[in-house]
Amino acid sequence: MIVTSRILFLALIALTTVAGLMTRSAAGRDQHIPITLSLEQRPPATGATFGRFRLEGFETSVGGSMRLSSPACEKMVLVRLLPIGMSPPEAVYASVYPRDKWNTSFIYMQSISGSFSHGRRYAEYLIYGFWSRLFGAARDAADGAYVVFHAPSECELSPSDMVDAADALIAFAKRS
Amino acid sequence: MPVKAPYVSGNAPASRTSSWFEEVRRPSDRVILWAFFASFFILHYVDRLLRLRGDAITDLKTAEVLGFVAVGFVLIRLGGHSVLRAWDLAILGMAALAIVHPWPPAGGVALTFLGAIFALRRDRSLASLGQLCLGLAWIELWGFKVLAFVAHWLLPLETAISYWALSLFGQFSLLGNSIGGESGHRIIVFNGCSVFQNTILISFMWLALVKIQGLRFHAWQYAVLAISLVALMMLNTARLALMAYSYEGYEYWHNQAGATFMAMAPEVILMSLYSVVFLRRSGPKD
Repeated sequence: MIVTSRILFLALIALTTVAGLMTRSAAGRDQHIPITLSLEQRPPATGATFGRFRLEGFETSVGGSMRLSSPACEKMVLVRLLPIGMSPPEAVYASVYPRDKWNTSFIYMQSISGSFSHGRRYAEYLIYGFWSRLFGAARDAADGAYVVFHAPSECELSPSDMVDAADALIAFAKRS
Repeated sequence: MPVKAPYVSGNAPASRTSSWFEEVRRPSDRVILWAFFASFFILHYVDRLLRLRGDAITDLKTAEVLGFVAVGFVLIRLGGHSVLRAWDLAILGMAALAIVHPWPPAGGVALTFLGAIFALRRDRSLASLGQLCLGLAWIELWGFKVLAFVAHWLLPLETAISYWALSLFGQFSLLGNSIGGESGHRIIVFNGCSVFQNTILISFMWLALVKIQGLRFHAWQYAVLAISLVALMMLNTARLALMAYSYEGYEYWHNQAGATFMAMAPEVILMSLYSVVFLRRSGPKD
């Protein structure tokens, strides 16, 4: 009886190995490179447009961000794409982009807010990701990143424009 | 008196084959565990070893290779001992089924459950396999996740230590996980620059080396681990300080040869220290 169960176990291992190779072959190459890294390695060219925003250049200080111009704002808007596993450097943002001079917005999964509860969002991302993967659902790479906008306080940027720009930026990062 | 059969050159391979069939016909615990770990390696690591995923991020790490070598050593030492309980086969079977799923973290989850069960066993071989499974799961899956949750207080701490070292060489300002200089150059320390992930790597490689050497832990091995971790933390502190000191320093230590050096630091520090201490201890006594 014991020997039989052990032989059955070896047969199960052989079967799962073959089945695992087949599922991997069928699933194809998974997307392992985070889209934020893709964007860092292959950044967009100056002049590229993201919705109603236009890329004017890059800011190397304060962690690096993109300088975007918009018809709704005379000054530059600073934008950065961050992976969901990375919490925003709030102390730095509060000092470099003070609330009386700048409006900081976070856009994640097409919803916009003035603050970003990173721990909760990341936990949701992990649980949702685990659940959907369990049943074979493909993961949208966009779920793995959020966009931070720093706009001068005198600028009246439309939330829908910012969401559109974030979508366009993520779409570019996915392509790159 | 029985007549001895004449030696035929073909006899040896034939007997090896028959003993192999005998092993499969009456599989020992060692064969069961070999089969499981071989399957796991094929499904979970071979594509990374051969770079079939097509990116450098998922390349197989030295630590993971060392981990599987350690698993091999533990299984060789297991010999013909019987260590598996009746329901262990069911647990191993469930883990094997979980790895069929092509999503890479499925393997990490399977290793975590298996490791948690085996690590608590009294048998040293099985407990060692459990420890190695948990370590592999930490490297591949849980380390990054845990760092993402603790980064908001760990990164400012690491940055503050680097700032303290850097302030001996000039005027700098500390702001959360950011250091700025008088020239306007400022760095923000993100997860990738934290020493956290490398401390996990070095601890796991240490565990693998200990298990390759034997199944027991010794005081000198703990000392080697402690010194290696301190050396690694000091090195990363210096690296952050140099990146904050100037833009050239940032470029060198973040994007050029300095970054490659830091990527190799855990292996170099641990291997050299472990080898030196081991050779000194096993060498001839004066």
